[in-house]
Amino acid sequence: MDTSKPAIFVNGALLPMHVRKRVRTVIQVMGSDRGAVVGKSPDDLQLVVKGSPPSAPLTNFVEVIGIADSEKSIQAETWTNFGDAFDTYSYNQLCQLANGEYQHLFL
Amino acid sequence: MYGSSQFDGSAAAFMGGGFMPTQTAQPPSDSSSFSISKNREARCLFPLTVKQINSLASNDESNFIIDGAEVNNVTIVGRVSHKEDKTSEYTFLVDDGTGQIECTKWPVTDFNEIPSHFIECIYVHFYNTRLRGVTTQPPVANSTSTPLKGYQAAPPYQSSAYSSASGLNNASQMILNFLQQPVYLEELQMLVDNGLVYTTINDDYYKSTVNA
Repeated sequence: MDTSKPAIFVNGALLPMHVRKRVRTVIQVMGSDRGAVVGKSPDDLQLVVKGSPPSAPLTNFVEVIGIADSEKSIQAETWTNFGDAFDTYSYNQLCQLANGEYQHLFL
Repeated sequence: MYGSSQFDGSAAAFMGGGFMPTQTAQPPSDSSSFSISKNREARCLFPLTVKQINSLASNDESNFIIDGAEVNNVTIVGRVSHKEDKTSEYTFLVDDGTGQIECTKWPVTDFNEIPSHFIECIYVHFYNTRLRGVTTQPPVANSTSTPLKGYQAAPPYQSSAYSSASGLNNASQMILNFLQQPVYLEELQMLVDNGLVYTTINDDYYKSTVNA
């Protein structure tokens, strides 16, 4: 993992605060739209993920790391299948903590 | 270790991580000659020989320092021998000609481990900085044993005016801070009125009549 490019944990509500920055999140894949993947963020907001997914089929949950290019979309550089069962509630809590009073542990 | 799509495995992925731009690909025979990086950040990636790592272990265990710089992430290049494939992890020996070192590679099969790890980082940090230091905020309480009526979930933190200089230990201070929150003061008074708790050495110390 390249530690010179840290990525901020985000959910749908936090993404707008980090436009043009490197972010990471886990989406629940809902479908695709004009070549981009449409998914649900850990806090149930719709996000669009652009870029080149891996050739293998995407699982239900996918972690994406990349640059937030708008308040609702990410240009993903890295896609990682996280399987079909994932605790989005805990991940969402982590996003809030990592952007709140424990931000100094992450960035 | 985490996501095959992110682990590229090539030597280029480990070359300095962007902190040592002058570093070029080093052949294994050159691994014993390394230059001190001018970048002294703790996240610097150090190329080390196994011999250097072994000499670190015999020094201060809490803080690895080599040549005046703090060492956290390291790269080693050597031949893999003695692989052992266990269910949860994969251990192997790396021999770089200066020594052998055991490495462990953990396959992540449940991706909940990833947020779980970071949440643990937060918890341990919280434990070490808040609970061991001067306590100004109580931890989130669980409701398994409390007799308070209508108790659903812990309220947001409220700062306490008390400091630990009052002579209380950390656990007592935590409980005190928790009970000082206004909603609990009313409930506490109700418990006192009903003879379920009583004050002891002063008005801030309560004991249960049920299991005193």
